[in-house]
Amino acid sequence: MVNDASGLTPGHIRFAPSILQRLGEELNPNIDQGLLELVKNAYDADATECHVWLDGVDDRGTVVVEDNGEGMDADSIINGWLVLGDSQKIINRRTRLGRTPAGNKGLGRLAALRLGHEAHMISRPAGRSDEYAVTLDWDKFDAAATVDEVDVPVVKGTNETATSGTRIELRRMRGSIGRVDARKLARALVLLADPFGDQPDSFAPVLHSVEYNDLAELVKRRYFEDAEFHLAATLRAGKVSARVTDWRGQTLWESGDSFLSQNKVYEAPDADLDFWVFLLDQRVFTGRNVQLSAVREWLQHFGGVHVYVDGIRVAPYGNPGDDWLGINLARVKSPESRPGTNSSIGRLRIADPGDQLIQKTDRSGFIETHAFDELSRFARDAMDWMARRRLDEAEQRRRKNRTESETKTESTGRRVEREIAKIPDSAEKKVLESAFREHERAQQRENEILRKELQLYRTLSTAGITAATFAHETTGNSLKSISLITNSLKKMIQQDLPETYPTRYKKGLERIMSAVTEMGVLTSATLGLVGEEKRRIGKVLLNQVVSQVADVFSPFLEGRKVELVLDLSRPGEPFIRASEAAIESIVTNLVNNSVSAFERAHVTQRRILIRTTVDGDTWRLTVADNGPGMDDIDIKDIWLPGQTRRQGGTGLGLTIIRDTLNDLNGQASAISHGELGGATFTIELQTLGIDKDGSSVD
Amino acid sequence: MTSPIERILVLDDNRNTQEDFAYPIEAANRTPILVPGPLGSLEEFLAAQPAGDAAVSDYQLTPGHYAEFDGAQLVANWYKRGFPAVLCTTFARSNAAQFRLLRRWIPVVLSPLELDPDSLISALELTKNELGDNFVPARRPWRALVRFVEYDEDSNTANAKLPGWGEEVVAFRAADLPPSLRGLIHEAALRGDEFRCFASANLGSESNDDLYVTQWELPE
Repeated sequence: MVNDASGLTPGHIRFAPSILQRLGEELNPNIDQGLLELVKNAYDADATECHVWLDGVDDRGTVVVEDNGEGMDADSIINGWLVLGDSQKIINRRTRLGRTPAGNKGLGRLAALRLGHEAHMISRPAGRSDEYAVTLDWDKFDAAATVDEVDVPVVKGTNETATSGTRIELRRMRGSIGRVDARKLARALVLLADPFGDQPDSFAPVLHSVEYNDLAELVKRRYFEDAEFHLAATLRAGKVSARVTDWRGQTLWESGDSFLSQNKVYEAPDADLDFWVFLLDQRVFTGRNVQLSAVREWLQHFGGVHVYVDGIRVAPYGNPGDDWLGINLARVKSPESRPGTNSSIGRLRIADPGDQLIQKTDRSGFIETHAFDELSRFARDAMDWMARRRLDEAEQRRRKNRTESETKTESTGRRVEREIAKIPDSAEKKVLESAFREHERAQQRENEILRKELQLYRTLSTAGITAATFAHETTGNSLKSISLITNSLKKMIQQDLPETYPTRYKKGLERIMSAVTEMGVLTSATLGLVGEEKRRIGKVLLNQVVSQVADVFSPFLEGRKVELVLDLSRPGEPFIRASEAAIESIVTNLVNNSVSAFERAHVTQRRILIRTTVDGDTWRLTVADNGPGMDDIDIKDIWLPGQTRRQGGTGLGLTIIRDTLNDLNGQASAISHGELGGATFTIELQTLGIDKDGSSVD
Repeated sequence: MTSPIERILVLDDNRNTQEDFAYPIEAANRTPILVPGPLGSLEEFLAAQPAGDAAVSDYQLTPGHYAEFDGAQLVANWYKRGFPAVLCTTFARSNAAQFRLLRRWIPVVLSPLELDPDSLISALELTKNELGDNFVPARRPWRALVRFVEYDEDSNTANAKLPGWGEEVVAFRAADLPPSLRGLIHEAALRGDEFRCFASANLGSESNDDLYVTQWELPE
């Protein structure tokens, strides 16, 4: 023992055994990830095979991982395997087979080794006749005061098998490995060494379980040639190029010198992206020697964009639910030109000799460094480029169809003219010519109207899809986050600053919550309109729908200081056969119309009246406000599309009401200054009957 | 004496929102445990012992492939296994009919606006008490007469009244009702009658949305 100048024995930092638990299973709680680390260690040892038995070979309750790699001698075990956290991964170091080490020498492995009460390892170094065994009895560690008190002897024996490799037995498992973990592990092992690559068998880990056999069988079925499009993009020294081929292998588009992004250089390691897009439509697969359902199943299990660094997969990219490139979101925005994760599969192969990408300690992907962001941008830009090419092609096809259709109409017209010209009686000919010209003019007018209507509904669809997407995202994420955090802050500030909370913070926090409530109303109203059940035709209780819309709008109207007076016909519930969405859209658009009217004029006490009355079979809805009325527009023009007096307004609300009423055989009328002084709209619908206390009176 | 609620599991298909749930939990001096996905099927997920004392779950768990089941199914099944959990969603509030049959096993649904450190812990405590057969009046099940006053399979509507609870119409989704019950309601409707039967309902409920009906007593 060396003493210092003071004569005292120098101290050492030592660790309590509980630290093993903290750094092991608590930091890396996923069993599948832990076992995967042991398999990666086998890869680093240049193994070509690695077998995993979750339920022992002979001994139930023991997990076994065995490889045919290079094995370790006593020195490697003592100075490598037993040293936790000392990564032996050295930049640019390659194994004998030229592999870049993938395994984690530290905490992930510790978690795996601690899955049982005892870890037993036996290793046979290549080209030697000896073997070495080590047993880690974790119960002994738990009983010790500090970790270093427990001796871990390395026992030398004779290798009688004449093969090299390492076998790890995790004995007396602490918990059972459930089917979920087994399935996750099976999928991770199947995908570990790029089974889609050119040398799928260079490293083949095998899990001896039913889950694995099924998946391994499935992964071998390679359906790449059935993909409609194959995008191959490369990134070399920051520069990109890309090519898309069809299912016959014919090149469709090449990026050439036109780069995929405004920023032409990507600060990321070299990479290759392969992305296969499938059109899962029976018509597409007819005549091909493959079943659509089989392709679907294959994509369901292996779809997504997987990431391989130096030949070994990095999870969780491409796992179910891990849409790291936002493929599904892009599809929502542009369904025609984009695949979803269920209809595509991809692989991003990265060569990272300089270790620019750093994996997280818990092995859940890369730390989001600039290099990783750039790599993601490369992959997304490549996909965007392909989507643009597909969209361009679809647009060209549509233009061609339109031209063909117009040519066909023109040629039919000329044929009729030729036939008329053959008529000998000139008076009859004139009458026919005049009638045909009139017919042509009417047809042109109708086409013009239809084109405008089509344009209107395209605009509406886009607005609707976008609003619903945003509303859904906002409700599920942003609004939820704001509510949760604000409510918590309220409590925390109340506790931490009880004296100043009421005067300095309370009002502000309450305002945030009130704003969230208002936004919630708008988003739920938007989402409510697109609900599938609301579009189904069925019995609709008219007053109930009016009342629901009023409920939904009430906090929003309160925020705008608008008093809503609801006066519904009683007793009984008048009903029609329609969709709830149709009636909702009428009421919603009328209320919106009144709300926007208040923006154009100063009204001291804003009021909206919604009244329903029943007169025989006629249900009448009146929506009146005390806004400025509609003096600046001819009242008959208010139903035309695009007529808006609101800055940034679409001018579509009243047009939708008109079109909806056309479908329902209803009537609408409006007056500029009605009973409350402002605009008043009246809607009339013919009811099918009135429900009285639940029973229909037709 | 039951163990206190210390570790609260958080299930949400959005990782950021999951982390946001940690705020109210930590403000309530409890430990949040964010459950990483994918969770697989309900059966598989329930097979493992929950790694906490209670849980809070979003309703929508499937959109991001986080789980193959929704939060309502999960919370209800956990309840049946004696594990307390709260559903946090705006969806359930606006779709009460859809949750009517499950609400027996989902004592509290909180919207994100309602969820704060106090309401969360109260909800979990209430659930835990209920699991110990200690019901609050609004949740206690009673044998109740149910009168089906309207039935329309096309629009998936089945409206009923529970005289023991109130005059208001209680909406169900027709497709959710047991097939035998649907058949009986349909037959009665064809005859121009109401179908009446007994079931179990929380007649003390103050709100239509929180009313559950279960354990239908149907003729053999």
